[in-house]
Amino acid sequence: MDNHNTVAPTGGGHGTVTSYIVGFILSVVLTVAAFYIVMNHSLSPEATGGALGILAVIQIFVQVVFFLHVSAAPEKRWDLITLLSAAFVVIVICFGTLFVMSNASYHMMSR
Amino acid sequence: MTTQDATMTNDTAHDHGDHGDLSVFGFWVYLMTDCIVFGCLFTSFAVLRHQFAGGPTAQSVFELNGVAIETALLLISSLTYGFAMLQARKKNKGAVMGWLVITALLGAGFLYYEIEEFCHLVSVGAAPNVSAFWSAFFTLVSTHGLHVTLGIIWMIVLMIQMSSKGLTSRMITRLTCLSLFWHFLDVVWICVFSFVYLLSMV
Repeated sequence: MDNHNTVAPTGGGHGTVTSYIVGFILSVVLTVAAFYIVMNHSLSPEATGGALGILAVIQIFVQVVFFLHVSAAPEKRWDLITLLSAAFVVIVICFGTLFVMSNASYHMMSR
Repeated sequence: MTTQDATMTNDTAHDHGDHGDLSVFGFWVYLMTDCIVFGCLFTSFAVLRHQFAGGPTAQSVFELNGVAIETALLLISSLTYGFAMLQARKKNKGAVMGWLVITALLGAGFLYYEIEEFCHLVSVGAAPNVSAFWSAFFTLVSTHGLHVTLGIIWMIVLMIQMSSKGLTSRMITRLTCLSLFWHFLDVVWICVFSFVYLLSMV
């Protein structure tokens, strides 16, 4: 019984003021960096695209950890498993579609 | 022994009032399916991102200043909702109300800038029926905007319920579900400003 009650009673995870502020500052830095490289044309177009992707993935990770409180803790395991399976489905849909459609437009010479 | 265990778990669940843990997890599973909805919308946008059909191009009509303001409003509202949840766990009803009002106002500010941007785009000829790019753009971005609208309405409903019923454990479960929803919308917005607005300007 005791053991049961020590598990987070309302779920959803518990942040602290510090964890929210750390997550917020990291997000601000990553967002400003993304806008900066685009507005100042400081990189080549290909490098800018790659950098935007990397910055976005890092910021998603930061917000999932600091705001959504997903972790590998035992009481959070199913949150993590459902998140990873949804991410897997999204990646298959996205890259699968882009692969098929780029091949289609290449072979039909529509581009 | 096993039946005893079963009744014990049942009792614990009833102690928590309304299966709060399970409600939050159920809502989380819904959010993951919503994630797949947005994944499909982003994919169709990615496929159609060069199809302007002779209409206005993204580069010629997007204004990044407005997008930066929208991003800031949504990110700050995520932080203020986090503060509301911290106060909710301390059972500090007045402070929860205050942070929720600030969060709802920031969300409304986001919507104001988004609607203003849509009006500007339509006025310069970038309407949803002009080309595949603008159809995909308006479908994706306004789906996110509709989610934000529903989030604000939900927030107002919870504030009304909280003022009459107080911060019960059931209320904290509902606030927790909305917190996941609100933070999730900020995560989706990261992809919107990175892959829709900024990448189109490269």
